[in-house]
Amino acid sequence: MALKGLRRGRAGLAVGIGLVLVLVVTSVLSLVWTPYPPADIDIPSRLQGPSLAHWLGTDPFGRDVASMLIVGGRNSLAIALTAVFVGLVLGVGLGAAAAASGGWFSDVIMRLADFTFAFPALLSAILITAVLGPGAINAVLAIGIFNIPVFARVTRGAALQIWGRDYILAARAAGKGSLSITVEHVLPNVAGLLIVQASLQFALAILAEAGLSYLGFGTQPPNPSWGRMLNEAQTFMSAAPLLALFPGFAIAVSVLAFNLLGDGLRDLVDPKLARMR
Amino acid sequence: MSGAQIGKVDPLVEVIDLVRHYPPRGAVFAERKAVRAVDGVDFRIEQSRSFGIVGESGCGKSTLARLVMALDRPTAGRVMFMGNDLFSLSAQALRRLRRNFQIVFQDPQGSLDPRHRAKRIVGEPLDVAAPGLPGTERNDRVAAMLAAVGLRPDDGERYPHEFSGGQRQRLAIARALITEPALIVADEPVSALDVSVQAQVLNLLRDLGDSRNVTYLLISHNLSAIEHVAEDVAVMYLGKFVEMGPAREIFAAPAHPYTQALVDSVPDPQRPDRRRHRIPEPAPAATTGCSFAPRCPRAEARCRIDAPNLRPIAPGRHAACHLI
Amino acid sequence: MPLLQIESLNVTIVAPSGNAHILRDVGFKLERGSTLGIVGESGCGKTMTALALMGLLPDAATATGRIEFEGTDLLGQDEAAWCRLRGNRIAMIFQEPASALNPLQPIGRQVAEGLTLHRGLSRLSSLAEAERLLDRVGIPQRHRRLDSFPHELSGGQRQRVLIAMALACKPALLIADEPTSALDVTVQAQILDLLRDLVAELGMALILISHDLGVIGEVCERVIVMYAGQIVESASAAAFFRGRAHPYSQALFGALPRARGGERARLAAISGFVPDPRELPRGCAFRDRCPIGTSVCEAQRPPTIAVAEDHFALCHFPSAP
Repeated sequence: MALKGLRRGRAGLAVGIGLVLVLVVTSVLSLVWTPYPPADIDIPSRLQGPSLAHWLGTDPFGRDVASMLIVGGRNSLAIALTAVFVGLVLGVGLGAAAAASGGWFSDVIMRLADFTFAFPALLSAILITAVLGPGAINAVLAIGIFNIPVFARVTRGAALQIWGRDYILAARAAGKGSLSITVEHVLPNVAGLLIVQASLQFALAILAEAGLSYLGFGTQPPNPSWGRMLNEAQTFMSAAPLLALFPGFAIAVSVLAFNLLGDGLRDLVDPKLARMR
Repeated sequence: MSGAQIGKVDPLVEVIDLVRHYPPRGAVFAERKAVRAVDGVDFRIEQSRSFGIVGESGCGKSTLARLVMALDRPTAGRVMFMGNDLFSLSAQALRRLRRNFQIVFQDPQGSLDPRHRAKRIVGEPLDVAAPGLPGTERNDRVAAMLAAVGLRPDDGERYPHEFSGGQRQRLAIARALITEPALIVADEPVSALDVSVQAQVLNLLRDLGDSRNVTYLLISHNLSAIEHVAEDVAVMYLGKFVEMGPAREIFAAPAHPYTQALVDSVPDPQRPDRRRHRIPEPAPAATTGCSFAPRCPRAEARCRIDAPNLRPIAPGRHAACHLI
Repeated sequence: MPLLQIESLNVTIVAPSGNAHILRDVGFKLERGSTLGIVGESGCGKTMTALALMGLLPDAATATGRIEFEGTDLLGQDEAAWCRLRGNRIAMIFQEPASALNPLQPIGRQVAEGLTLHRGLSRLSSLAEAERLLDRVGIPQRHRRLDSFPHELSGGQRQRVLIAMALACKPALLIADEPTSALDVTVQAQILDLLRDLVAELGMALILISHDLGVIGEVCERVIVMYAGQIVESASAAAFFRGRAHPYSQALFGALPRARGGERARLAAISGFVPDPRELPRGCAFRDRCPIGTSVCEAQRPPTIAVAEDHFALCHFPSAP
């Protein structure tokens, strides 16, 4: 049983890695080449179905859907990547500091994290972008802020365990201070866990970006984005249902890809599962 | 260098009325008392006379080890190391003093960072003790230390999981020795090892102690290991020393009923059929009187009222018992 | 007919990194009501021998040979047959009493479980029997004892509960794998007393596995020393503690520090390491660490030599006891 589950886990990881690679490669490729310039309007060939010329058809303005999807994916990835990075750096810093110091500082950090958790992330992101104004950078901020407490908690929890190890005591006995112990011993040992969490957060960030863009708070025109493609497709639901299907599918697949990657990595990294093997 | 001070300062370690209580946990729902892990302990470690502390799980010996290492702060009392009061030093001064006293833990696996190579692990104390040391000199010292504990120079490139348990403990010993400390606290250094490997490590500790002028504070539940390394021994029971003196004399003729039971309980393959005395299983300490009284086969009425103090019973020997 | 007879038991774990020979040609006999100690260091195969007897070898392991218990060969029987046997005719207790008990179940139910499973007792009568068993293993009488949870007991008491569970169905064979290694010495002494008394009282056979020669000497009538998956010496305890024939047994004995107030001699440490079970040497497995090893030992597998009546050593040059 366990063995079968494990193989399935490995297969999931492989599929996850494969899909993520496809996303990354097409995104990078789109910097130099797309089937058509994604913003090129070509009214005569509007609302075409999939064909050899336009693999996934065209939208009401005659733009090439495949090109828009690819570039939209790139934008999504870029925003998600920056947002997760912001959350990761600040969250890991706070979490590691909380674990290292303990006492009231740790309590304050964790209560702040609880406070942030109490707000529904997407709604709050909408609020932030509504206040700061729409745009990619503000979307990054809005999504990034809600990644901070996640990473802070995961880091603190894992770091506290590491702080209980004898090799930390040995480092203290050698005269090392909290900062160098955190950098040399704690962070390298929680890195695996953080990578797992980052890929799961990445999936959420893609979803959040799509949501914000759908509502018009995220990526702004003429930059294509999956969320706005969905929104624009709504009007033509009955005439061209495929227009909604493609971006929806792209969102679902990339979220799935990063979740599979994260779960698969977790199985590899989690020492408890490793022991059962 | 530190070597100059070492000869002059005597005793090496002086522990004065040391107390460590842990605040009660879960006190919201149940009324609980503080855990008295270390409850008034005094002893001295003289230069080149290794000191052993023997006791069973929960007696407070590991807490005591951490206090002596200044890895934990006492509730009361002092630890003097080479004339310095460890708990009144500035953080900076304590850090500088640390090169002179190092520690070896029980679980060699847990005491080595799995993500560091052996040479980095062994050299770690030098980061603080000799931060300006050039890379080549540092490598030389690490290599010399690896050789001293019986490992090969190229073992430095390997990670902890690539070593056996005994080799890992050798790495931990090398790390403890690299700053040429005067004192090494060894907390159950061989308990996690196989018998044949235990012998290797005990021999190594003794040899290094002689050749490098290191004194040990050896903490163990294993009487034989203590006797093999330590000249003096203290027997600890529920936070207090119940007997203290030269190891050989105490194990040959234990005075305190608890020490007698302890010595008696060790199975001896050379005398397998010997009938032994038994004491009841661990019981919570009585609130008044001797903390061993609930298990003591010889306890009298006064043992349950008065707590005995550690007092001299023979030249060099001390015991805390009314009946001696 | 002996209670248990093992003949040329081989256990191999097949892995991509190479086949690991965990047990090699292990064979011994155990009479009803007798006690056998298996001693050796970690990785020598002593626990694997126990697991083979319980049918609990890991999936990747293949076993060949014969394990004849009460007249039937256990190897190759199906899982249902193992289940009838385990906990019923053969019981086992482990090193870590804390993890062998279910923390969420009162001990009474855990002791009674085997009784309802194997002996078909009703809930009430199995609980009454559990009460009697707890008395026998020395869990102190107290209010609602059956309802106490494992965390309310000390380590020694937990091991007593495990022994009570193992005894529930009056097994013919009890296997105790390092039963006292996690306990304090004063508690260990009591658990060993209990085991010894139970064996005498119930007439069951006992296989006691330990790394501690002292523990074996306290309880067992016969001693087997294992090294690198093989039995290297086998003798009555009395003969073994008088004199060891195999160099490994001698080294193991010499490596013990003794707290007896004697002269502090250097310990006779065994140099080197146990060979990798995937790359066993051609000749004797102990050759590289042996003080008397010769080229013969390197080239040829050692024979089992009878050094005295009922005293065997797997060695080209065993000492006369």
